Amino acid sequence: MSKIFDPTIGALNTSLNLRLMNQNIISSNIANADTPGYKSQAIEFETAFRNALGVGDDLTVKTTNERHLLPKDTDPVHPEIFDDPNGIESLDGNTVNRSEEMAKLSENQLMYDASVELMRKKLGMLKYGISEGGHN
Amino acid sequence: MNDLRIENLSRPIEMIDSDHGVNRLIENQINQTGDDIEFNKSETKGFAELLGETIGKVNQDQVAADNAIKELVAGRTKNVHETMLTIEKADLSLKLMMQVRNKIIDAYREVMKMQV
Amino acid sequence: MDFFSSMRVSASGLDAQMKRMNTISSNIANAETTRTEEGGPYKRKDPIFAAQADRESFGEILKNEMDEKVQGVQVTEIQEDTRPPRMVYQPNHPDADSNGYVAMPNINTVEEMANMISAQRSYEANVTAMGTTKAMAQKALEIGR
Repeated sequence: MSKIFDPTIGALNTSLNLRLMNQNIISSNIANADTPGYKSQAIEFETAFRNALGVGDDLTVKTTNERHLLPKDTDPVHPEIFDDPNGIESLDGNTVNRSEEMAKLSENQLMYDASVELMRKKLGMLKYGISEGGHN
Repeated sequence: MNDLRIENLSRPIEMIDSDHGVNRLIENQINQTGDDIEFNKSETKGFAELLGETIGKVNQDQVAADNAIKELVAGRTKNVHETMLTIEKADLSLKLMMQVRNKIIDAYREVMKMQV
Repeated sequence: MDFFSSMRVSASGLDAQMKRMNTISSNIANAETTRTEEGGPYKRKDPIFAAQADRESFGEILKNEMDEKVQGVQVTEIQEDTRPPRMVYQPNHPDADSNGYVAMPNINTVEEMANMISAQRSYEANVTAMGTTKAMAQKALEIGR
């Protein structure tokens, strides 16, 4: 059954997962914008994405044996969450940059919505193919 | 598009009324847009080639769309509208091919219905 | 990992900023209060924020590193300002001491206004974050449409 779901759908699923995690992180940063000593957190996307899909630098699938099939749809995602190195410490030790967090919030939402739309389009194409375009 | 110049369009009734005029229009359209697809003399060979070419192009579009999606999602490109356009092209070319395939099947069935 | 932890975090932010607003309002309202229950002038109050890991119930083992990093905010205590009060010379005031000085609260109204604006901005930022999260969740429902 899962033969019709190509790796791109897995990639989109991973993207949605990562973006959701990012949303949680950004919400944390915004809520703690006044907490003394709190360090702003960030996720690094490209490595997380590559790790989740097992793809190489050029975004093609790495396989250890030529006869291996494509990897399974999604791997559980464990991105690296680290203290944002660009954070500038204010007097109380807080490194959250409010304006940047708001910008990241917008970007994250846009990318999430884009992933959802792309997922819809891909699934729509599959559905169209299955229904033979309404041909009887 | 010679027959669709403004001067010619000022005589629409003449063009539409006569069968001959309409046929001429359609013929011109086909000749203009038929650059991509070759029509062979023999019917079955033409269909097979047509299908083969179309499927090849549709597959190319699909692969291009997949690559565009991977690029966008991995954060390599921030060009959302280009990705959307690429996948829309893939979607439309798939739909076009599907309709062509349906029409071909219908035509085949029609032919098979003929009493020999 | 879900949308709801993000919403709880934003909600905690809203709550903390609201408490901060309350203390600021209290400070501004009592800028001239010379008598309190404990005796002496009103002391300026300040909320202390602390990051708190988002957990649904205490004692639940954190499932992975992700749960640790998502942190809401909590007001741990309201700290009273320990700076000495402002002495103003007003010999006719009923609370004047032997030298004619009245101990007034050490509240700088300008500082409080700046804090108030900051609290408002933070509150709005948290509202935006929550709205964005909700929009994303609703968008996810459209995948199968």
